[in-house]
Amino acid sequence: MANRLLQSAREWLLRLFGATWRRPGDAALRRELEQHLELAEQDLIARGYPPQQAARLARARHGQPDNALEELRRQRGIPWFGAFTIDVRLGLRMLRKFPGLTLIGGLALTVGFGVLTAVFTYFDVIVWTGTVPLDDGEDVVAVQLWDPERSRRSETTIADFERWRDSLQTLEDVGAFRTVQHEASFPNGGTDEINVAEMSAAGFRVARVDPVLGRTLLETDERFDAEPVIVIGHDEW
Amino acid sequence: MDLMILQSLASLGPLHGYAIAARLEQVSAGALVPNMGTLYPGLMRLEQRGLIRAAWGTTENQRKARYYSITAAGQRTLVHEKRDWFRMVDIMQTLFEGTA
Repeated sequence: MANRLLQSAREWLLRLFGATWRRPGDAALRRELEQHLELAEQDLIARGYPPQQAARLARARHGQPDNALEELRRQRGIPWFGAFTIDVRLGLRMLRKFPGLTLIGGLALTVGFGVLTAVFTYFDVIVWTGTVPLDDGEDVVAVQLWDPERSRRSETTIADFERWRDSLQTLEDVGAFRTVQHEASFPNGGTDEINVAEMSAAGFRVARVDPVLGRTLLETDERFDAEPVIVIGHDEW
Repeated sequence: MDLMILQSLASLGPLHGYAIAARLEQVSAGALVPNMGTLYPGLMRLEQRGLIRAAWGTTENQRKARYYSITAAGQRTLVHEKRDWFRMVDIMQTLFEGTA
């Protein structure tokens, strides 16, 4: 195993060398391939084939030198690395020949990359993955079911929530909420539609906000037979 | 292909590319005629791995040709590769006999 690794390392080092340094090897390789065909032709002629047919048959059976040469070039170097070094060489030549134009082109690319990076960062941080404005808000994540067939979020049930809360090991705590609208009645006899978040007790543990009056939700409030509890926001109050 | 080249060089001594191709054609009774696009990259790979070496020499017709010979590392590799090959043949043989 160690020998095979050493042999492969030796091969790739030589290929890297072949890709980096131009070597005048093509002429010798081509001569060797043409000699191969000549020997094949002579062999066929010795077996009784006419010279023209022998030449044609030798190429049909042993291949074309150009194709073989292309394969040999691939084996001699590393194709993608060779293309990369050609790009670098061309770039350096252009820099030497047209320094002003090359520098302006490079500068334009630099500015373009910078602008694109800034725009992408804005969308990435602010729009797509904005953090929750709470202490350690960057640690708050949303867990939801995704329907790949319809490419949209699918409904989460209480059973899903309970399964996640019991089985997810990578999350410190799991809470659930849904927003609904309720009609609120006021002492002056008026009513109004207000937004209400029906939620588990974990929501307040995550928010780390103490109530001004009374208490927030507890685990015991999650039981089906528990008394209804409401926490009223400051604005509604 | 690599194993066939190494075995040809080990059994016949230094050979040029065409002689290796002719040897493989001969032992396969014409079933195998290696294309130059397969044979020569294989020779180059074996040379890069230090398993064979190449040197210019003269053919029987007084023409210059590149002769390949197996190195000591190539001999050792051939022993290991042949052992692996026969082991695989035994496994396949047992497998086929078991399913027959």
